[in-house]
Amino acid sequence: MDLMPRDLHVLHVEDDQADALALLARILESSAAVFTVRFTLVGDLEEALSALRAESFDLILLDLSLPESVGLDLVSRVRNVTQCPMIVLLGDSQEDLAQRSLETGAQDYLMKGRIDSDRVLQSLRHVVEKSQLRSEFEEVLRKEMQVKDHFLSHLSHELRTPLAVVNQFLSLLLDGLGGDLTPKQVEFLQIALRNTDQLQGMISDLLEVTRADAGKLPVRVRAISVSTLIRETVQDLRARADGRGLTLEAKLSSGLPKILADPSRVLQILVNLIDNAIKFTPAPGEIVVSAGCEDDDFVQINVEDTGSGISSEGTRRIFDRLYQEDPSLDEGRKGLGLGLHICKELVTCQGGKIWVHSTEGVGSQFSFTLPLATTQGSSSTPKTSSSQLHGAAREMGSRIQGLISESGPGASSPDQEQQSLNEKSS
Amino acid sequence: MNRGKILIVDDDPDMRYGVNVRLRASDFETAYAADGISVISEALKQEPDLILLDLGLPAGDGFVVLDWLQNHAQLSSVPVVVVTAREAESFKELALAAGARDFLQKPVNNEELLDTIEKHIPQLS
Repeated sequence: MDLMPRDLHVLHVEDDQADALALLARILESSAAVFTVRFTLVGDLEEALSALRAESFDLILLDLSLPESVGLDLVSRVRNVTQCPMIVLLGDSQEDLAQRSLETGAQDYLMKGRIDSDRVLQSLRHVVEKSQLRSEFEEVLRKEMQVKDHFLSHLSHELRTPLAVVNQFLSLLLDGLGGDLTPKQVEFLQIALRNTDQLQGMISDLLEVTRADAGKLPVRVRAISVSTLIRETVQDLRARADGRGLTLEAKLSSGLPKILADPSRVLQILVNLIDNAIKFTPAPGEIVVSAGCEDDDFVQINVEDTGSGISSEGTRRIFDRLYQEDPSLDEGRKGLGLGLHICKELVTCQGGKIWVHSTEGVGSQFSFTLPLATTQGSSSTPKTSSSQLHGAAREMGSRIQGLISESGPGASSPDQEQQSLNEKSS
Repeated sequence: MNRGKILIVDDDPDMRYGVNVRLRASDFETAYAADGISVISEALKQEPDLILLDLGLPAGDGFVVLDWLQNHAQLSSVPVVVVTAREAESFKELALAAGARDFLQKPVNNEELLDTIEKHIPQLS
């Protein structure tokens, strides 16, 4: 491994007492056989910060022969803006500062009074090597994330295909296309179909949560009417609530301004919250979805039920991934424990907040906010998150890859197909 | 009554069979292709009124097929509906931009499938 970059770009932060640093510079310059050094000299923190914004450096040399508190503060302020390796230079009376500089974020220190070329070279070598190892490690992590991402998208595709087939044939049977059915057969098929739907939802949730963890939830915000969205959702879910002996209604303030959000994502949040309310409210009960202007910047949407309520520990942890309020619930009502976690991620990435108030035995109210569409945001151009563009570009790449690797002949010719289909239908 | 001919393109034989039964029950004529190359030969031979196209196909990815169909003198007018297990978030726009009329994500509910076909298939005179 080539431990030294051929051209080492050093940001040299020094105050007036430049003697020691000048000496150091000479040592570095004279070691041209090992590496070439390019210096950028700055006099104070402000200049250092603007140099760090403008250029990239391989190393920072930071003179700390200043009052102690200022010195350590300098180390942490530089560390806040860059991960670049840093060596601090200490005055002869500052040896006690050495350990604390290392803890604050410096990689090494040199005592100004004892600078010799061997020590400087050793320190440089050590610091640069460490930083190279770190960037290699980060590269490995990044690649691993990519593999994981690819694997999950492949997995969900592979799981969905057979599930789609099961779904198709169950509904063919239910629609009488396989012959007449007894009421018992219809009931059994309906149970099977309901469970494949549930499985489908879990696969989607799993994919969604992986994306959220990778910061890659695709969200496209535009100006939308939250009242219309709520009314339509409530209408769609009313039958499900009725079926469980619950009333479901929308109570909306009139003239709600438009919000800046992704309609399919808001729908997803609403369906999730209302579905939960339906699941956890015993009949007879009621669920009310309301919305109003919280302040000048946000609309607040509430889903309130007269259900069993949530324990106080539950209200703190309910948006955590995999949290289940009542692990003794029967299997049918248990999900993966991802729904509310995904809701939280979705609300957060659209700039809002989500929380819950609950009293055990009385009911729960889930609330979330979404930003109002400002003049800037209400333009008709949808905003596309960069991660989404990135995703599309990546998929393009894998498509091309797929083309290259899958250029063999197809699985069966159309004629064989026709034959096998005829056999199956006879 | 014949409501038109649909070319079902999917590399999964069970999936093709299921869609086939469903469409025939709804009085459509059907034809099949299992890979990119046979879509092209079948489309020329069968002259379908609509194509249901899966994206992940051997021997010619769905996007290549779309591109080929778009550039063909007779076939460019045949409506293509993409039916895929791939994510709508990533692929819907790409598919529409490549010339598909519509995008359905598997598992497709039958009502949705028939409505979409109804919407795009040219009405037989």
